[in-house]
Amino acid sequence: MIEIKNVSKSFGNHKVLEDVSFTVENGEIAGYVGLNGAGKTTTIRIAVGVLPPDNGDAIIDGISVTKEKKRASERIGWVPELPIFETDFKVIDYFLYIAGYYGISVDSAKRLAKEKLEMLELGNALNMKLAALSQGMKKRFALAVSLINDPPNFIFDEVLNGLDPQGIVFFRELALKFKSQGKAVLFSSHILSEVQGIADKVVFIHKGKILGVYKMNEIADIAKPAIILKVDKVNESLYVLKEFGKAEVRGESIALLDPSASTGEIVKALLEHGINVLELKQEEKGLEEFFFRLIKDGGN
Amino acid sequence: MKPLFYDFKRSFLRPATVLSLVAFIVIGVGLSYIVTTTLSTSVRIYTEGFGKIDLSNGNFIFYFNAYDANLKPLNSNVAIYLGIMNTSANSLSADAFQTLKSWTFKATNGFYALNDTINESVLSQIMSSQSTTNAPSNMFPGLRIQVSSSLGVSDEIIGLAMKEGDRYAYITPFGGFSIIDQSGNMIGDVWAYLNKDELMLTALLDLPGNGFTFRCAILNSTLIPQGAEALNNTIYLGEANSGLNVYKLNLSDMNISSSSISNVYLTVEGPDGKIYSSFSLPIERVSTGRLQGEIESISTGSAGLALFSLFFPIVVLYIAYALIAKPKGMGALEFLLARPISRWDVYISRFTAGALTTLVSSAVFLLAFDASLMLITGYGISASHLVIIFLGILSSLLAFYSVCYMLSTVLGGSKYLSLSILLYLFFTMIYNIIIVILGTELYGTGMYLSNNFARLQYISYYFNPIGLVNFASYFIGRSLNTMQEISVVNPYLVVVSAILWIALPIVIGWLLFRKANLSR
Ligand SMILES: Nc1ncnc2c1ncn2[C@@H]1O[C@H](COP(=O)(O)OP(=O)(O)O)[C@@H](O)[C@H]1O
Ligand SMILES: [Mg+2]
Repeated sequence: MIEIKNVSKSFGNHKVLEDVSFTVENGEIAGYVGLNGAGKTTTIRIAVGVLPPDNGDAIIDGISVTKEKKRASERIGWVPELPIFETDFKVIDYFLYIAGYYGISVDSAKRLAKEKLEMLELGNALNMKLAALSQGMKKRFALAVSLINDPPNFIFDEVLNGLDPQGIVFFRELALKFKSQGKAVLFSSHILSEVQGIADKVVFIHKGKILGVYKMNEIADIAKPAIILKVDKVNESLYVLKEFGKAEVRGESIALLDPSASTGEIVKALLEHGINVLELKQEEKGLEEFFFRLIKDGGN
Repeated sequence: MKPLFYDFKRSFLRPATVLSLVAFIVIGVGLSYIVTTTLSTSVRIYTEGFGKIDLSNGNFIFYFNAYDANLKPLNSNVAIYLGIMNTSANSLSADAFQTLKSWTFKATNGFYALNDTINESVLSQIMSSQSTTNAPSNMFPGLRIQVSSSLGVSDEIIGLAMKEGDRYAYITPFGGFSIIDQSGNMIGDVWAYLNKDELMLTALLDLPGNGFTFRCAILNSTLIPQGAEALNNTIYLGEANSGLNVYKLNLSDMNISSSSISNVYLTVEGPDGKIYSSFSLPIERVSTGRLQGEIESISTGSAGLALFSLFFPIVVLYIAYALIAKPKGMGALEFLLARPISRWDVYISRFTAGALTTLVSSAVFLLAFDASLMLITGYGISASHLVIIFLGILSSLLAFYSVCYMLSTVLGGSKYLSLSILLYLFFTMIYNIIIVILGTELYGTGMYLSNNFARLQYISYYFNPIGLVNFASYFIGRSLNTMQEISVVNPYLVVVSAILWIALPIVIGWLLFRKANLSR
């Protein structure tokens, strides 16, 4: 379980986090969503113990990160947004070097290195310099290192950013696997739809403040995608569509926001009123709109 | 402890450190050569030798022996030239000595015997120049000998004897000390060295057979006593053989005061009772022990270890860069810190790793230096002085390392590099210039004449991390008696200063690092 408790942090005069609190339960994937610069990475750095907070604390399985850093660190894995290593090392050497910090003997560290790095498709990169790794490989290497002691909590910071489709699938499935193993997983992103389908809940952050925590199904309900229609009789159709939600004219199209019925039913009703539907599509940005509305409401 | 070991291993085994270590071993070895070069001009060696040509068949023998300033047999490279000397030419000009034939050899452990045959043409040139009737009076056959060793060099013309039939027809020049067989069949070169109460007699002899004995008389003047009585007063030394003979006499055992004696006189008695006698040989007074001191004071001087402690801080500066400043500047320390370790672990294990690297490097350098000095000269730095030098260098380097480490915790990457290089230049150069200017202001330009400036300098070393090493040189200089006492140098204060220079930056560095933001 990951508990973020009343965390505040300033860089100089710039207040980056203000009384941030939320919890990720075991066996739960929590999305951590906010615009770039909202404070996600800062929260995460505090949670994994690499940045001391000004106030508050992060509690990992009941252990305070600020007071018992070593023990807390044993229980949490981290794939950073932009993993940075000491780049003059070779992949295998850095793995062994870091394994030393987990108190693992050289022999078992070597075995572990082979196993984990091969599993993460870095088997061919063992003798590459860390500097030569691609962004995706760096993330997988950071993962491999975090898996050394198989911690019960995991944080992925913008892990899908810059990955190819296979990479995206890999990390989404990994998060789901961790969840099924009963781990608490925090999954940050600046795009809400990235956590759709895996997150059980989403923590929204904006300008260093938590806007709210929503169950994923709640969000899906609220953020039903708008239906975009092109019809032959616009004014008549507005009258009909009023029944099914909020209708707006957008150029030559009509957008039906927050539709209360299925598209089939809506089209049927229009046809019954002698209105022909020329074109029909679902707006993709439903989730993002929810997110922006949240920001607009909460930001002021 | 494991991460410490890893950090040490990687700070030590990183290419730059290994390379610089190899470089410093090379410098250590090189330094020992510099020391010996300086040494070869400041101490002397003792070379002995003579050659003999049999004019009837061209047989040539040459005996050589050499000692260092401590009267230890010397390893040397020797070149000998047989030729014609022109005594009226300028001794430095090319025609002062015309070489007819030359040899080179290595004399290990002092002695070397050479046998060769001279060909007809060389022989005839030698014969024509030595013939008293035909040759110009300024031309003589001669033997020139050049000796080079790590403990000194020499270049001289030495005795050459020529056997004509049963007699030594000609000997030139009358260099060194020769036993001349009055009746014509023995030749030798003898030296007498006096070191405290020990009289050492060395004789390179060419004897016609076996069963010879050697005797000597110790004289208070150059005059050789005459008559049978004189021969009765000689001291029996031992058997005499062809080649090198060495005899030692303890004067105090014999109740002879070493201060009053000046010459010796030697005799060789054949199995047939025939006695051959030498000239009166002046005693060469030798004070041994100076060599060790000389080596140590050159070693610790400005051409020696001071050179090392001047340049090694650059490596130290780089170690702090590689261990903290660079990864911190890149933001790479965070990933590390996410492991089950505390900030203090990261801070102190990397500090210790760098400190150990510094320690091992200085030790390796010093040992390479000492071993190479030992190999080249046969003399090393005494153990206690080696410890003082090691502590001096180490505390200097650790102090500077501490300061660099402190900087590296606040400044990342290139900012650290520029500031630490600036600090290095400040402490190695600018600081000393300031002290000189200050000295001139305080004491005038005549300050070097008095102790005032030295005092000021040593006070300044307390406040300069790289300056600490000067105290080590001072303490060694004091124990060798090559340095005047300087009142401001107090061993306790030196230790306190070293501890403060090392500890304070570590503490301040930690206070800065404890809460530092380690991301880019
Ligand atoms: N080391 C730092 N020094 C100063 N400001 C920082 C530092 N790290 C982050 N910030 C600022 O803190 C805010 C939050 O950054 P971050 O946590 O990285 O946001 P996110 O991960 O949500 O994009 C940003 O305005 C960023 O500029
Ligand atoms: Mg971020």
